Amino acid sequence: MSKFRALILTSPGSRGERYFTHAFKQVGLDSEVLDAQGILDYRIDLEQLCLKYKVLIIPGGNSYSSFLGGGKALAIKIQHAFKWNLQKFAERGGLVLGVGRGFQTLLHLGLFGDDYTLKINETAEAQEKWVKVVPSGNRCIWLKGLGTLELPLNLKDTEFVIEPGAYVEARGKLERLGMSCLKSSDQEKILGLCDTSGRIFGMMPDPEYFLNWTHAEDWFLNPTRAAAPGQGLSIFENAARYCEQ
Amino acid sequence: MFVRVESGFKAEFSDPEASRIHHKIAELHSSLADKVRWIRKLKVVWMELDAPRDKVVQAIQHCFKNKVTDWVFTGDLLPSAAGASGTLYDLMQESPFRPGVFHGIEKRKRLSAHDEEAQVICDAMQTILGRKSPQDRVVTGELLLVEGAKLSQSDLEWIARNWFAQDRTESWSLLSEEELKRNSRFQSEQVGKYLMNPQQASRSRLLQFRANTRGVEQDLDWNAVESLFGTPEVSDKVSAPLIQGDEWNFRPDMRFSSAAVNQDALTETEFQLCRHQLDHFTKQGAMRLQTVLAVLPEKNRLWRSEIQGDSPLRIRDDFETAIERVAESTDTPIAVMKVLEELNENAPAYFWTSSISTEDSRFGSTRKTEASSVVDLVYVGFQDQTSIRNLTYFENLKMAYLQALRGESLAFSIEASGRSLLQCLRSAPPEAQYGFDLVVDGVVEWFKRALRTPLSLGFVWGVSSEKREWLFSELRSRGIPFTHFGSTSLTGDVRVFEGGEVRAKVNIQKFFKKEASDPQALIANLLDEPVFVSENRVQPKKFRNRFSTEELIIKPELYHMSVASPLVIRPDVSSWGGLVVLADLVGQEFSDEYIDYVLRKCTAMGGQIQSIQVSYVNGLKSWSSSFKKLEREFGISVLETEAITHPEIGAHWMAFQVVSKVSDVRTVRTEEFKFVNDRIYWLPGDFEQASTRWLAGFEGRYQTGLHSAVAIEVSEEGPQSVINALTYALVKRRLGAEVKIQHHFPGGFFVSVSENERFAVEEEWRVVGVEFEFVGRVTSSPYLVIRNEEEQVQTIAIEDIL
Repeated sequence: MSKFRALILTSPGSRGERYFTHAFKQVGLDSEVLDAQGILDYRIDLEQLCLKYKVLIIPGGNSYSSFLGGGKALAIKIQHAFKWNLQKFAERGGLVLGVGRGFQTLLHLGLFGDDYTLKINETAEAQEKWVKVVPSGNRCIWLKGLGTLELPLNLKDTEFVIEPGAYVEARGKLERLGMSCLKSSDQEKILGLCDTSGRIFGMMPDPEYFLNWTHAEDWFLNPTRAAAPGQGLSIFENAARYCEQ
Repeated sequence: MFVRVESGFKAEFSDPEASRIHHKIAELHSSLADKVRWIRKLKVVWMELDAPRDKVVQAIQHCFKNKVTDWVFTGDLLPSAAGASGTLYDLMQESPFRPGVFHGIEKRKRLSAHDEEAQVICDAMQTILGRKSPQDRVVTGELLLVEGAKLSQSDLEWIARNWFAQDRTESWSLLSEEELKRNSRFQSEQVGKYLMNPQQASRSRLLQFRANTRGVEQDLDWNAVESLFGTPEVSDKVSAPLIQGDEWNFRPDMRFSSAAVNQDALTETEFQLCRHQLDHFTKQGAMRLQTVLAVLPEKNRLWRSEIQGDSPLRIRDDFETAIERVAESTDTPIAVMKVLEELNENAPAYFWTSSISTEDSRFGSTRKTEASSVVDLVYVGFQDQTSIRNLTYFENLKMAYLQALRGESLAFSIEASGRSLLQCLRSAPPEAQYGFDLVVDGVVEWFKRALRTPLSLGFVWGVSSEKREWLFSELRSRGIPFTHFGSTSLTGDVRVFEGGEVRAKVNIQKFFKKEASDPQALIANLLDEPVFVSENRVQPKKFRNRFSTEELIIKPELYHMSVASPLVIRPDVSSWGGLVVLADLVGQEFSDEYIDYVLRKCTAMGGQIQSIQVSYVNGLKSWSSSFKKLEREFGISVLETEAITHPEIGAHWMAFQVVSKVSDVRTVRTEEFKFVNDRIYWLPGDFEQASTRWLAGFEGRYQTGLHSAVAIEVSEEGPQSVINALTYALVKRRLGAEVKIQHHFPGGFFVSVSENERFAVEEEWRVVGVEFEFVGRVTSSPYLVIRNEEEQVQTIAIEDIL
């Protein structure tokens, strides 16, 4: 097993940590699941985080029942209880991935600036569907070399909102600073965002739920590929590749 | 510091969750959904934080502010987080219908309900503040902002009750547009109201009782109360007992206090406590039950009539007698607290509480079998002492006794030799002391003798009914004489039956007490002439007296007082509390009409049901079905606290409590004329009509302009009914009036309206089509001056009426 370790940070109500563990196992990275209380118990400060882990995963799910807004309570924990500065973690070579509510946590932490947020969709219900996404920009380590992906999406807050008061400026920042995006296949919606370093990446779809081809809804239409890896795994492969460089 | 935080989407963003509520309303009530033109939902949090203001502001900013999509309203704490004005007015400005008519429906988690969201928020705030304090408290809720010019109060109540709030865990209230635009709801006192510690509140209520009862110190051992408050056992989850006398042993009690009726959130807490405490006692094999009666002032119109025989004192006396009877017959300590308050227009003047309890050791140890507590009484042995012939009798008697024990047919066995029947009965185990039914058919003479003189060798047996015939055949086969002379009962009385009818009846305690002082007289009374003939209470067929305005909408046709009688009190102008305490030990049957009565009372004057709870001890299926029916037919959820089963007690108890609140106290009217120079009008109609017309708020909106409404009693002939109505309205505040009565009024109401509001009210009457007639004015001099059409003047001094 690799010497590099990934930390999967869970919180009450979050989900998918076992899939992440499985994903990292498949790409040859060691991983560890710790909840928020575990971080406090083991006294993992920023220094410890940088030394022990190379990858930080914030899974989706209803973290703290989405009280205070999706991912907000966990963001407060990270900022005020753990006292982690994830930008510094990234500067020291760490990779961060937030999925679903985890993406919201990254937004609440201000890692992409404070002009962006996610808002509840018009149906006010969690959308469960498969979306085709296209990476744009070339800085994101997580999306390096990837083309169109089809990934499952299960999220209530799917409206990516840019501060209306500074829309032009904020929109331009995405391009100017070279923040890579994950867009829907029709380029209309932003479904993911990467920071300027390319190491901190948040996305709405759940790549961890598409690790094997059989995870796809219609895999049986092409049963010969049953043993093939899922498209979500390529994201984790990128992380593993980066770690070994 | 106390903080209230409201957060919601900015005006330029849509609010999908609010729209969803709108869709749901449309599914159930499309016409109502049409009236709702715009809707928004805000998250509301009440917090008490032990931290300086600047840190709290900083924490709120971190915790609640989402710069891109949300506005955060905090009063004056964080004005920059809200819109231009810092109030909900900014949000209202974005409504498509402006200026619009806005309403607010606010709900909040009850203090007793589990509030996970509050815990997360509290934890987040404490994390940001960097310290934890046990004093920190958070309550969460939501505010629904609704715009609709045609929305009435009942519409909003419907939304709140059916879609917005969960009655069991949340309380709700309506906010007017003015309240929404102002920031007074963010003030510390307002916020603190919701965050009151229930245990402290419970304690403070008791102390409040105490403060008000200085006048009756002689009735209560206040030193003992003081010392109990100081003991560590009374620290939490325990309502301190109300005590009288030295015999009372302190233990936690269940309470349905009249003060609790006043506060819905706390009431629920009380019920929770009750349940746990009952559980506790049940596990220990004991039962303790405390009931509380709250009675309104003597002058209160709900019980004001002497003809009905239902004055507060009568109610109290009846209740007290019944409770005492039960307590005496079960030989358990009883605590009584009497509280007199100042006579006050809106507050009750008389509270009365009582507690019944059963000691742990009283059950179990003395019981020989699991037989039911009602058993047949049999004297086994010769009636005549000289009839005992030989030793065979003793052997047979011994064998029969052993046989009976083996057959588990004996509830108790009392050795009768050398003791009178009275003494035997007196030494019966506690569960047989609820009462006795003695059947004297054909054995009157034996009774007369047996009650007074010692019996020969034999037993008084309590025989279970199922095994009775078997045991009798056993006795017959062994040649042992026996006399089946009655049974135990749960009535609390000793009753003498002859020919299937009650010949005499006396309270069991008196029966035994009198035996000590003058047994001869008692027995003579008991057996020769009836000492008490039970009479059914005369129930008033109809309220023949003046109705209060509180009864405009409800009309209690049936009301009689007893333990089972429902009581409805109005602790303050904005709330109602209804209580039914039922105990079949005193022979009362439960009726759906009691529930009906309480509900009708509690929803009078726009009262909204806040909570309905029912507790049972040995509850009956029929009771449960009554409440299920209530839920089914009226859509009211009844919180049925865990039913306690304790079959050996053989008694059935139930407490049913309703708490309702009038959301807008301005709509509450009373009968008396209140202000000098108010204009008096006559409005036609009777109560049936009024309950569905303008007066009851079914049409129009200026009912709030009325200062009072008094009914004209139709049963009285001629002008006397008018005079009665007017004087009644004047008496309370010692005001006078000058009126002109030009014709005979066929019933109807006199209402008073201030000079300022008369134009609006009169205009509305014209628009709605309410017939009205100006009658006169209220004056400060205490005289009622009546002029007729011929300008003849009749003057009545109010003092004379008094």
